[in-house]
Amino acid sequence: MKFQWSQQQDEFRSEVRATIYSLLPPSWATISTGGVGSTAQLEFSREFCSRLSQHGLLVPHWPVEFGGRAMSPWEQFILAEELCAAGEPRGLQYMNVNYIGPTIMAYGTPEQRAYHLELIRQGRTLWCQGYSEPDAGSDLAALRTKATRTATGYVINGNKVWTSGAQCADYCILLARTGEGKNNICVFLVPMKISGVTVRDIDGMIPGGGFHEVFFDNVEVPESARLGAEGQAWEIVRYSLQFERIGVPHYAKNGVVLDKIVKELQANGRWRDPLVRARAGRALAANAAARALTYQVIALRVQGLPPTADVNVARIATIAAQKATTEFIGEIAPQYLANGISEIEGLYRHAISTPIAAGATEVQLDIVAQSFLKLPRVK
Amino acid sequence: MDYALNDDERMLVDALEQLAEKYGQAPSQHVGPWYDGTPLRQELIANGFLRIAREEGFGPLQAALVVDVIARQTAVAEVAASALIVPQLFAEDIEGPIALIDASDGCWDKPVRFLSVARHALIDLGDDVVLLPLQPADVEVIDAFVAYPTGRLTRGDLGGGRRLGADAVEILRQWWRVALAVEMSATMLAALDKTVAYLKERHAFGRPIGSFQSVQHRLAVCAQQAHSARWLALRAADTRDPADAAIALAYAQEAGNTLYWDTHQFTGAIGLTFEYPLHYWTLRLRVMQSDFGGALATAATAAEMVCGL
Repeated sequence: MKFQWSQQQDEFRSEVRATIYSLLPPSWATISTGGVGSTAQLEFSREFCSRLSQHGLLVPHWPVEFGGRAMSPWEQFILAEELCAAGEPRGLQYMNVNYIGPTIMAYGTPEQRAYHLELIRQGRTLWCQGYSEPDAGSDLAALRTKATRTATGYVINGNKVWTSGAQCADYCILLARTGEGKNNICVFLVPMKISGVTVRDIDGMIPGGGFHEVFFDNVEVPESARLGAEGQAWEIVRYSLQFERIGVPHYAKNGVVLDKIVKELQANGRWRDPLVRARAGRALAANAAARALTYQVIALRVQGLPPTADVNVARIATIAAQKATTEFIGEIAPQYLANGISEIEGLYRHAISTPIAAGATEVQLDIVAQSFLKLPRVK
Repeated sequence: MDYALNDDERMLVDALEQLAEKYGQAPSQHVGPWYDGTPLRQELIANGFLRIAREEGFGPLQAALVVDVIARQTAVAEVAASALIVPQLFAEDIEGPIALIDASDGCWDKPVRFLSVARHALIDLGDDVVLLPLQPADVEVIDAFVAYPTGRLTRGDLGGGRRLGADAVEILRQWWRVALAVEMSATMLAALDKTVAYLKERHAFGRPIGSFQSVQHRLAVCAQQAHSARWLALRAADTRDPADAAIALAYAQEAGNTLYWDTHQFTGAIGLTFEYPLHYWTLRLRVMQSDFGGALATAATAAEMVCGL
């Protein structure tokens, strides 16, 4: 066992940090106020990720054959931590490199791999995830969007909702059913700028225009747009969610925000109050726990072991860390929530979605209870 | 960064588990708040496990693994202070069991775990640390409702004690926190295992209690917290960073509160009796969660250590 980074990993972190800050413009604080799904940050990500790619730091964990450097999952996470701490200038392209790309690697045809992975690797393409529907959130099997077979492919009809990044996306990784039941769902890689696709903004708790509704009205796609076989969607989704659920090291950004608030509390004297320090300590400990369990998952991945419910355990810890951090902000530093848009307010507003995204907390708890603790399922 | 046991650590843990299986289990007919682990401790000494931190290629992380295995047993023995703290403070071995006394408030006549069986006390005076050899007459045995042999120091002075100096204070506290964090996380995991096993077997309303979602969700949170506590504790042992130690203990003490209540809630009335062995661990948790002023005070200390004052 070893809980410290190697010298090589420390050097990699330094390289990554220096590169990130060399690529961020003076206006980054303004660009990033809306968060990862905002139009400003998404459009910026095209330029940023392209340049990150030129430095070999967009997909360093990908296999060499797909344009990566075959770096270990540890390096992938060092990179993710540094980017998250900087405000995630990749925008939603973190999804591309974390799980959409790897899912295409695992299930795509040679043509899909050649086309999409190259675009993702270059950092110029934006994706959104078309999973949730008005009547199907965490219960994905209830989705209604239909893909009807035609002579050359499929016609898609239905609508998706709460879709982050749809306003700028070039492609959507979409779930649609070809028949009844859980085993008749397909994954499609659908261009967003084609006839029949309409995107509507939904205003709400998440800043920067994060949510959208996407309508698919008689959208024609060729058979080559389908990822994997008909009916294989469940397997593909489970595969991709293993990456998504720990894909964002929120604890890294939380650490930056907590540090900033504490410095102000130290300057104005409130830090002398032991109760204030205790609340900070709880938040720090919760974030340390989230990091420790995330690393446990990475360690299993490094060993080449198949995904386990450890991912869900780590997800629960991440959610607890988000809650502890925002409780600290809300109770100890509420002034940050009334001063207009700031990175602290952005974190606070985004955090409320963490227990819902990538499968609600209750789904994670079910999985931990039944797959990790092996408690009996209800028939 | 590597969360897996290496070959040497795997051998260490296997050997400890074998020893624990033979000497670490209270017999099924035993009834009482704690079961004496003196034979287990003697075997650990005889096989060199309590001085493993001094062995070539090993250190506090491997000593923490010793605590991690032994604290899961129903037999209770002083291991953490001897294996984890002593090597950080002394070049030579110190005869145990060792009792740890927080007298930073000037008061050393409080109930202390392991004191009734201890050969030495390590006493935190706030500005100094004293190693005090103990005679039976120095200690009053207390029949406390906790899962440890407990005693109270009756001496009015600490004459004859060896003073380690002011620099020893923070070293003692750091490793005391690590020791507590490791012991608490192991205790939580043992209590959780016992509870989960019971809930798979015990039926209510025609189905296993463990199949109810309201039970499953709370146990899932307990599992997340207990495993988090373990990784944070082992990490603190490895990094040797005082801030990591405080963070690990703050987390463990907070989690211990949840786990104490939930494991007893779900095991119902049987879990409140000494006929069911859950109390061996939960009564230990109740003691450890109050050290250093408890979860809230430890969290404040952790914040100071991470962020400064």
